[in-house]
This record gives sequence, structure tokens and C-alpha cells, in this order.
Amino acid sequence: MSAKVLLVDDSSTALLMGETLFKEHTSYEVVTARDGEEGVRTAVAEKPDLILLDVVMPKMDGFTACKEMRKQECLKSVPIVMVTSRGEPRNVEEGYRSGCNAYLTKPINANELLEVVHMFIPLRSKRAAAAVKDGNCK
Amino acid sequence: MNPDSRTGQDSSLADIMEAGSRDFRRQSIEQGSDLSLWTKLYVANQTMLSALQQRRMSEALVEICSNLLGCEELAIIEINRETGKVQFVTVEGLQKEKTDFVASNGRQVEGRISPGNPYVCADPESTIESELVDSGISAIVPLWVDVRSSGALILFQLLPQRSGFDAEDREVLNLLSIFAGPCLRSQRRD
Repeated sequence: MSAKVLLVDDSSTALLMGETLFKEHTSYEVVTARDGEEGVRTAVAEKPDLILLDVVMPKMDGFTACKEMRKQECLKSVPIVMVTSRGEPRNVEEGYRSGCNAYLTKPINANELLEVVHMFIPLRSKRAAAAVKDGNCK
Repeated sequence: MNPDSRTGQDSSLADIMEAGSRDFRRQSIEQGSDLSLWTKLYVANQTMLSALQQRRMSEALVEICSNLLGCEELAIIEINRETGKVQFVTVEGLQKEKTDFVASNGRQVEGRISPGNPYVCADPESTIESELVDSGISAIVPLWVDVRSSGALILFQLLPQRSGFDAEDREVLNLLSIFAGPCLRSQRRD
């Protein structure tokens, strides 16, 4: 079974970039969400192996969405990578405080994104994939 | 928009852009060393093509500049070639002093894009000194030039994590200079 990546971004361009990269250059399955609330719902329903999360989004921003995801038992160990235009140090710090594992700034560099994703997905498969697939999500 | 309802001009423009998307996508798969470049060109082209079909070109350009170039301060303008008067088509993230600068410098902007190529100021090694650079402009992308008017996409301050435009960015700017103008004109005809 291939790994599943959840992309959460309100930008069609950013989603297209992620979808293109993962569909053409990996075997990962891709699911998408367009705002923070939908991102949390989709994460709970889909139980992805990795989440790429924008920060500035309608309804619920990425920091809040990240905290909400971490409250869910089934998402506690899922790697979350913030991918955002907000590269100022205070935003990076807030990202890590909200529970993300890595922080990438836009504009997206395809090679960098793939490297980070490849770094996290094997780690997670070894550690927790099986457990989380059966975990409890509210 | 249903593709069958395109006008003849729209249809040929869309056909060219669709062929471009196919080529960029193929290159992004085959050219491992330039993966990032070809993927960006594919995404930029495809974003413009979708916008052409949905009549939301200005939004698409804002998205491309933000997500692929790291610029969230921009304006799309039309300059009357006879009077030099500037009309704003779209303004995103700009403070009044910057829009005022653009409004009163239509001729200067027009002069920089008349060769038809993007004018790039945001280059760490650039030695360009001009009022345009001092005003915070990073690049000016020509959109169209005809008897009546010129169109331009003006990019201001880049995001803090960016120090300038690199070779990949310049290719994206070149792509915008080829297709963004015709897409906007096509949209504004309706």
C-alpha cells in the first residue's frame, strides 16, 4: 500500500505544485483540503502518512489546524510540514510550538520538498504507520 | 467555461498553452536535474490556462507570484500610450506610496518593457541604479503592447526569505511575459 500525503492549502497553484510532484515523482497517494477546518476533518478521515500544511488560510489558520490535529490520538505521530510564505523567525517558532515537524518557506522548491517528504515518510512507516491506521480519532 | 464555447482566439491561445503544459510536464518527468524548473513552468502555465477558461486571470497571476516567485506585492497596470496615464487592473498588497509611484511613472515603466522582455531589478549582483529600483520594484513583466496601450505586471518587494530572482524565477517571468498578457486581454474582451 502506498503512503498517503495530505496537502492543505487554499491556493490552487500550491496544490497543483504538490499534486504534480507527488503524482509524477513518487508513488504516494495525494489527498487535498482547501482550508484549516477541512484539513483537520480530512486528516482524521484519511489518516495520512504526512501532512503539508499552509499557514494563512480561511476558516482556520495552519497553526490552529496543526494544534487541532495533534489533539487527535491518530494524528499525534503523523509528520506535519508547514509550507508557507511566512518565513519570519517568529512564525517559524510558532509553527514548531503548534506541533509541526518541519517548516518550509515558499516559493516551493520541488527538490527540497521531495527531500523533506522522503525523509519523514520512511521514518513514520517504521515507527507508527500500523498503529495509527487503527488509532482512535474523534 | 465549456471549451466548446471558446472564441477562435481563445481556442488557439488555449491550444498553444495546452501544448506547453504537456511539454513542461514531460520535461519535468524526464529532466531529473531541472525538476524544480520544469515543474514550476508546468504549474505556472497550467494555472494560467485554467484561469483563461474560468475568467479569473488576475487572481491566477497573484497566486503564481506568491507561490512560485515569492512576491506578494504587485500591480497589473495598463498604460495609455498617448497620455502615459496609468490605469490599475489589479493591486495586491501594495501601500499607497507604491501605487502613487506607479501612477506617476507610467512612461518610465513603459520604457523598461518596450523591448518585450521582463525587466529584473531584484538581482543580488545587479548594479542597476534607478528610481524604479529605489521605489522597491523587483521586476516589470511586459504583458502587451499595442497602438493604444501597454500592459505590465509590476512586482515589488519579495518575501523576506528571498534575496532576488534566480534563473528559475527568470524562466517563470519569461513565461508570464508570453502568455499572461494574451490571457488577460482575452478575459477583458468579454
